[in-house]
Amino acid sequence: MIKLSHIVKTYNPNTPQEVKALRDISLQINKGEIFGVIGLSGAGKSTLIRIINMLERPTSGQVEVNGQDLTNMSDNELRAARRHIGMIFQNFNLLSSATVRDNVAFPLQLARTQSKAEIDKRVTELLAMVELSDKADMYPAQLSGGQKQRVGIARALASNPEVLLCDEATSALDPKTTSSILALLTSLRRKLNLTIVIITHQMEVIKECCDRVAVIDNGMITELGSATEIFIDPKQALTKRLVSATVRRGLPELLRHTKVVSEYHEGAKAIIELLFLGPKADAPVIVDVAKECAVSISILSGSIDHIQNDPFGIIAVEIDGSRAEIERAIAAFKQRVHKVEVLGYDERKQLSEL
Amino acid sequence: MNASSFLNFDAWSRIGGLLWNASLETLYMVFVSSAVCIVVGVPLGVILLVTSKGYFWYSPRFYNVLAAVVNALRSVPFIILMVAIIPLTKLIVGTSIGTTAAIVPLTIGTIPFIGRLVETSLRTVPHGLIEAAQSMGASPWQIVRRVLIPEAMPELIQNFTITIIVIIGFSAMAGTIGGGGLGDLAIRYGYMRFRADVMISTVVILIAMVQIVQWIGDYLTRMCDHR
Ligand SMILES: Nc1ncnc2c1ncn2[C@@H]1O[C@H](COP(=O)(O)OP(=O)(O)OP(=O)(O)O)[C@@H](O)[C@H]1O
Ligand SMILES: [Mg+2]
Repeated sequence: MIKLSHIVKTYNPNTPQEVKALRDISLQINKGEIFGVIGLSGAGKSTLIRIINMLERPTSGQVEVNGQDLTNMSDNELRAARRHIGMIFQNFNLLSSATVRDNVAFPLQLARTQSKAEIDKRVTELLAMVELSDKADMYPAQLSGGQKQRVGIARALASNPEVLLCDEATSALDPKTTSSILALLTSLRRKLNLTIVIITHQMEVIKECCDRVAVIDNGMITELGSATEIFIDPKQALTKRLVSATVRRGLPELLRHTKVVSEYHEGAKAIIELLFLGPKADAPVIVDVAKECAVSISILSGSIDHIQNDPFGIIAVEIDGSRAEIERAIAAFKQRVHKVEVLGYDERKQLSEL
Repeated sequence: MNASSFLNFDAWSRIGGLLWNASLETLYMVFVSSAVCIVVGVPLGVILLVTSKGYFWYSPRFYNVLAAVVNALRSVPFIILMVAIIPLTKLIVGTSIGTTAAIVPLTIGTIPFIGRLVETSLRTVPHGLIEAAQSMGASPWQIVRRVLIPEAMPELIQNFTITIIVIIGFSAMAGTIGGGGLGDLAIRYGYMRFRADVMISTVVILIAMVQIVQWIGDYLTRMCDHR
């Protein structure tokens, strides 16, 4: 649906203020997909999304949306093409001088292809879709942030675009409102078969609704994969850091003052991280393994979370037993959960034995 | 003059007639000049804005030349401009005396002023709004007409108010070179014939005019400000 080939964007080329915002980005986004782009401030995320609808022209490279090459279009052709690409913004960018109804009607009035009655009908429909029918005659200043973004979404979808671009669309909203906006986007994607590109610096956003994710750092894509892959198995240091902001991994807090060594020795307990994924996440795995291998297992920390709607859990446990027993238990876990990682061995006595 | 002249009904009705006529002349000058200024000044402000850095017809050379002309005109004191353009006034209206003739310097003196004010008003519109309109496929003309002007309307009305008030002041000044109106009356009667009553009356009428314009301006600003 969207194809970026070798996009380079340099601001103020050949001057002392030269900024290489994007360096050779190639990317393909499929139809009906929610694609996330995450990165730190200044990484080039906004530049990237603005290149998709040519608000910013790339220094070199090619942009293709819905089979059309946007890079070589005249201004007129580009204006027509942009009607098929909706966009929403961090600070909403609604017209303060126009009512909610007029804001949503705005793109249709610009296009001048529909009669006033047709526009009215479409606007009513759009406002119902974002659940703002009762606010039609209010001005944006009278709305909450979440409501403003709903108006933004209705406006962006007014001319039935195939693609919706979201530049930090939820960054100005509280977590609850963010979730409701993301849920709205997800349901609209299904209803309208939209392709959605979401730019964000919040990993939460990726976790809640993205199918695939690109991590962008210093103008380059450093990692790309499904949201699940990125969360479960981040490879780059930056990705790990971003992921750790929402999903705690590694040695649990409980063992902060405990000496943990990397080699087994007699009497030590194994500290293991279990990664559950998908429908198996709620199976009674720990009890099963404890019974089967006759080891005692204590839970150190754990959390069950969701990537989109798939449950995913991370649990750190401690296994007490002989070397052979511990190895057997690890093997048993490996059969049952997505991933097992040995974090180390600890000589600490059980809290109850102290 | 003496105190008894205040009680003289005949004299008052004569002065009243003079004040009435002079007020109408002032209103005529102010109204026509303001209308012309707004009609010319808004496009001037728009052109200044859209050719400046960061806007869609950015053209440093054009902008710099236009801005220099505007600044030069703005820095000529009105009283000097008035005299300096007498030949031009004669060319346009056939005479350099009278209310219609005064409209020429009033307009020329105020257009650069209002042009700059319009430019700064439009500049207050957040860039994101322009970008949003562009993302919906708006043309530059649509952005000016449907985004910049409506969004800056409260500022624009405030600045039109200021401009009209400045024109009221200038129109009184235009009276000094035979432009007619309240300024002319104040000079001929109040100053040259030592008629303090005429002088005070003209000042009171001018103050009232300014006040009314300000009230209307504030009211309209409130009406169209939804922020
Ligand atoms: N118009 C511009 N002129 C010059 N440099 C720019 C311009 N726009 C962006 N940049 C630079 O390009 C780089 C990438 O900016 P961009 O806005 O794409 O970052 P971002 O990832 O969106 O960051 P943030 O999360 O802070 O929004 C930054 O170094 C920025 O300073
Ligand atoms: Mg940004």
